[in-house]
Amino acid sequence: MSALLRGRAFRDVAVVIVVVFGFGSIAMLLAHVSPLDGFGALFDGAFGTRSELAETLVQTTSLLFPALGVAIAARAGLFNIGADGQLILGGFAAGWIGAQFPLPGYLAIPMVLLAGTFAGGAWGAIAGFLRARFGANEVIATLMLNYVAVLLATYLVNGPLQQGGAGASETAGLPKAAQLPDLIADSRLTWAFVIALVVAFVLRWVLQRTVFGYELRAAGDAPEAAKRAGIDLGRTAFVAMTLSGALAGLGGATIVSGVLHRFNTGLSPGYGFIAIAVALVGNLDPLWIVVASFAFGVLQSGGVAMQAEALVPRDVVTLVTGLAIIALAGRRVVASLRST
Amino acid sequence: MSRRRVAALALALVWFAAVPAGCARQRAAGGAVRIGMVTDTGGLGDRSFNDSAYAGLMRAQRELHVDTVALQSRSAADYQVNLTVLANKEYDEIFAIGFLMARDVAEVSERYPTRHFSIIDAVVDEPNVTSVTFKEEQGSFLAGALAAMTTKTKTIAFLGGIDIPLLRKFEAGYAAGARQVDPSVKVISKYIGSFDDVASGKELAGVQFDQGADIIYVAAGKGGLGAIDQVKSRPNAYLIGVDADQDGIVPGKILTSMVKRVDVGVFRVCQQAAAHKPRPVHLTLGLKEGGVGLTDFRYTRSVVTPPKIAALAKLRAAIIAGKIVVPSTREELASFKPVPL
Repeated sequence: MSALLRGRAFRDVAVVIVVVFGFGSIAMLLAHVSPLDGFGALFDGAFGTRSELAETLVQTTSLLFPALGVAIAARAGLFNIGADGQLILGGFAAGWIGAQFPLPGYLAIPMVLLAGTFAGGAWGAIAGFLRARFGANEVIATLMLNYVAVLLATYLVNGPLQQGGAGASETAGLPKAAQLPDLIADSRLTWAFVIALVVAFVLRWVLQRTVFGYELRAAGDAPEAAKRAGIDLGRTAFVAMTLSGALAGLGGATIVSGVLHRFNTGLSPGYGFIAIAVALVGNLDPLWIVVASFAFGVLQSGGVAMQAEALVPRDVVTLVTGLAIIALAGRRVVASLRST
Repeated sequence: MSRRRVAALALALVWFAAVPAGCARQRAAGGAVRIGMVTDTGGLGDRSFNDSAYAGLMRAQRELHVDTVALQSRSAADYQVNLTVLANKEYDEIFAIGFLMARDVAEVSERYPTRHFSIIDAVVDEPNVTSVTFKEEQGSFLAGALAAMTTKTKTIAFLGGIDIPLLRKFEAGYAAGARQVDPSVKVISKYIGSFDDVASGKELAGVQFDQGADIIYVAAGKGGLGAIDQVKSRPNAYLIGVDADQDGIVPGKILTSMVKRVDVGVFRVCQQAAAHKPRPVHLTLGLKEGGVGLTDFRYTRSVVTPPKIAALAKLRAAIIAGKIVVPSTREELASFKPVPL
């Protein structure tokens, strides 16, 4: 599984670039916009000014956490489609606890981030447990748990754990002490970006340099051999899914603590799903995923600017993203068919 | 291999970090004033709130020659993203349509102190935000008065979306208007608990009709469509619509609509922005400013007779002159007494 998902990074990047620019141009021509204007507006909107670059990095950060989560599960041979639900529950735990228990600054931020990490991890652990104990397919389990997560958070925030909103499905606002400090003034970019980078580097070190990382990769690349070598596949699956969910949950917590300063049930426009594409384009390697997150961050923030400035519907970006994923996945399927 | 990858990654990051330094963009001199708008998740085409705001924006484009753009929000996560993109793009005025965006406007306006924002239907206490609100209670007062003049069963009803202060303004004004005309008329109130639950809207409207009400004033967003479905099967019963002119949806069954002129609010702020004048901190639009009012009864003239129209005009004048102070909360409603005219 893991071997199937990984490919040659440079060739993948080339495929993505061709698809994005080629099909993007066609889509823009169909919308009666010059591709030069369209892409100009996209890149200008993504890093034309300091604050626009900051906004791109905000999107990068929001994608990076769940993408790292998807990657670690995939390296263990597991497909985590549930990053979005894990991210939402992580955000909910962070928002609720942050607003409910005001603590001084040096405790408040770690508590909020840990709350999100634990909630996301617990949600990932459910699928990991089902897989380890009963051999349940984690694709189905994580996919379904997305819906449960959204509905659970919506119910809690409107029902038993309501904190007095004004008609919106939200928690109360986080106190200043629980808000991640800004990295660039007058922008939405916070230290969450730095945390994400550190997590990516640590994750790479864990995967490449520790026994646990080795066992995890062995379980993903050659499960039969790993089993014979004495690696407990069930335990590896459980831990990988828990970690995967924890990373997505931490991402949700950083959105709440850094960007929105409250939990809202609509806080994710599908970060957990785009993250799957990000992880694949990044070849499941934490460092390449940083680069891939940035590329998708450019599309996300530049896409909105493109709609504002060049009047290209933002859906062009969604379309192009989807085509890039199909191209990547398709190439790998063809390659794997050829090799068998 | 791995070392080369790290080097490539480092290079990429350095390049991206270096880019913004050279790209501080200048504003085109003498360019047109640029006005942006962010819809809520209802979006354009809702035939109500967002469409009305957009109409105001389009009028500004025609009459004031400003550049405009409207960004639609697909989820609540889009609110801040859209507002931020417009702030980054140096729009002179940025509209947030709807109270759901109140906290997002507060966040973004704090981070962009040199930009100016306007929010509809909510009060955001920031120096660079104009809060545009409406005196819904005044228009609702006229709706309640008309309902009390028209009811045969001496019972009228109010059906709201979510029980929040904004909706209680509708409820209080409506009940006060009825009391002004005929204190013996009974007003029953219910809230659906959401703004998009069509099925519950239909069911609760049915309950209110069964309790003897023959006119329901519906302020429940999309949930109101359920009530409209219900009234079709009820002879001698009417609805009063809200926000947009809904009279034509079922001609003859919708007595009138309490129209909220979001377009007027948007246009008024645009006028200030186009003239580079400071925007008001708080723009409140009532009957006097043409911000709220009833429609022209074009499908219901057989019920809304000329004497009733004359009585409504008299009440309207009394509110504008300040002779009637319309209650906007339940507490104020409790102490409201009919004013002799």
